[in-house]
Amino acid sequence: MPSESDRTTSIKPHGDQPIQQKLLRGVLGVLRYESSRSLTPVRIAAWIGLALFPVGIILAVRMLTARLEVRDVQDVWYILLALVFVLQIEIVTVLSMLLWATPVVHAELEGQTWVYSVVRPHARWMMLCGKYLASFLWTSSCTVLSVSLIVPWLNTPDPSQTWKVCVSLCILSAMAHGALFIAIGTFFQKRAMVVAFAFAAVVEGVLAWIPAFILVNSLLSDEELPRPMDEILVSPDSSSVHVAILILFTVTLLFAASIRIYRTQFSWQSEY
Amino acid sequence: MMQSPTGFASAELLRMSHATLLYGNVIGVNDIDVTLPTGAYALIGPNGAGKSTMIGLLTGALRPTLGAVRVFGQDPSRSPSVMGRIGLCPATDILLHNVSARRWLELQLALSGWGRRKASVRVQELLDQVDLAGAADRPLHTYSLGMRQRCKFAQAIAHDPELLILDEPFNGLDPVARHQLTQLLIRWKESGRSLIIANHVLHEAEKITDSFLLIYGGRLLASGTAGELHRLLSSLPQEFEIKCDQLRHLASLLACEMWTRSLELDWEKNRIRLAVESPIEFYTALSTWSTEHDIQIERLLGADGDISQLFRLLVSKHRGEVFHANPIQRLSS
Repeated sequence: MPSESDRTTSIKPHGDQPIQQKLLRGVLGVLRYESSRSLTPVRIAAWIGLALFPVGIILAVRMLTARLEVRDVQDVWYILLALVFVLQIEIVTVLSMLLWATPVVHAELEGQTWVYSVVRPHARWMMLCGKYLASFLWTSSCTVLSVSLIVPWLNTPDPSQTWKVCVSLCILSAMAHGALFIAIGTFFQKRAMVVAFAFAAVVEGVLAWIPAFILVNSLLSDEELPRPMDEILVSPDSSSVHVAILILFTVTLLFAASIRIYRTQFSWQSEY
Repeated sequence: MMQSPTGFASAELLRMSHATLLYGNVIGVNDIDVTLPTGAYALIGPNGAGKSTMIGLLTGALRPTLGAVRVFGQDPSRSPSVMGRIGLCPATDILLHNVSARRWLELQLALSGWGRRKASVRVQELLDQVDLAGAADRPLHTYSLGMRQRCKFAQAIAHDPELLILDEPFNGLDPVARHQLTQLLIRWKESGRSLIIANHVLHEAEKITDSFLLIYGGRLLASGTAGELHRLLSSLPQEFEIKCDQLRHLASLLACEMWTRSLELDWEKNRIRLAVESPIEFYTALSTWSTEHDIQIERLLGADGDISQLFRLLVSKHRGEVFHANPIQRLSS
């Protein structure tokens, strides 16, 4: 039997490429694979449906305001812009991420293919990042197309600026919500969809609206606001601070998901 | 436990030092202590014996609750370089829809760090090797079970590992597919690389290797070459059936021996059925009696040469059944 030192020296490094290159190739490989798997009639129909659904709503509202002959155009575009935010961020992005990002591990367990990632070096991380990127691209492309179709109908003073702001918000939302649902998918691997749906319904659908309800209630009851209206609606902090917080939120969740996915022992038997 | 098999290349393939894995209160594997040099091994045991759990430990997917596991001298759960040297073909079937074998194999190579162009070339080689080139672009869910098994085998060898581990590779295969896979595995073994094949059918594994690890109830019952296992067999209590011309005389001689556990004279079929605690002493005595008492032995039916009998004996011993119950009835069953 060889000595400990013999054994150590006999081990050859696996491959001669730098680890970063391997990781990048793995992530891009997963991205290609997931993207190509997404090109099915059902998924494409879902993508088009999600992209066109907000356009239909905005067009309906626009037609309604035209029929009612609303004169204050400024108020209308402001309200429509708020509606765009709700539709794109709270509905399309959340729904899309719920569908595509949450089953990151569950879909692999269901297809009995997770084992192939578990036994390859760094493959769990590659799968996580590749699937995150795929769901990010799938969702953000959908919302960007949707916003691009909507903006001409908003009649804002500066359509180009409106488009830039809306697209930025959609991309930031896809980035953060993607990480959130990926984390849910990795922490609750077998009941991921149930937990994610409950989260979307309770947190995004109810809790997220509480501050808005309080504000509206205060305005309707003529209560004195604690701060000026501008400060309540628009934070005094610079946008870069908000973006930094979102990036930190995203990185933290993805990091937590990576730790979770690496620490979990996947029993062969439970996958049968 | 028997000693590790000998006669292979000197490099250490794996070492399990009192490895135990618990799934809550359930024991997956129990105090497995074995060191194996590089070579080809068959991990034999019935369903639920702990084969897949042992493979999980060897591939780093599972970590032992107690003890240690080393593959190529390193902990597979902590060393990515070791994982890269192992190829696994699991027992689970692939249940993917709308994915072709080519695309799936390219993904597996990407996960092993291969670039797109090199992976594409390698996938074509693999598809040719496992005879799937003609169906490479068909969705996996349209494949037969045998085709999916070959696809799984292709992904296991795709990154050119040094150790190939297969979990129940013959499950669901028709005879032709079994033969094809056996030939692939024999070629793999002949290429000098290591192989561990978990199976519950002995004769399939015997075609590929003569080194066995017998596992049951999470415990490694024995390990060794076929010859070593046969020697072990001769030291364990066994059951025999004898046909001869002097049944009564032979029975009386046998009845006087301390190592005879049970004896049954079957006049209708003209045979003696017996269980002995020491087969070596039985063989010696039978040979002597045959000469001294001129007893013509027409037939001696025992476990010699039948490795499945050894497995049954080891399992019975493990279960504590060998020294009680009616051994003759077990033989007839």
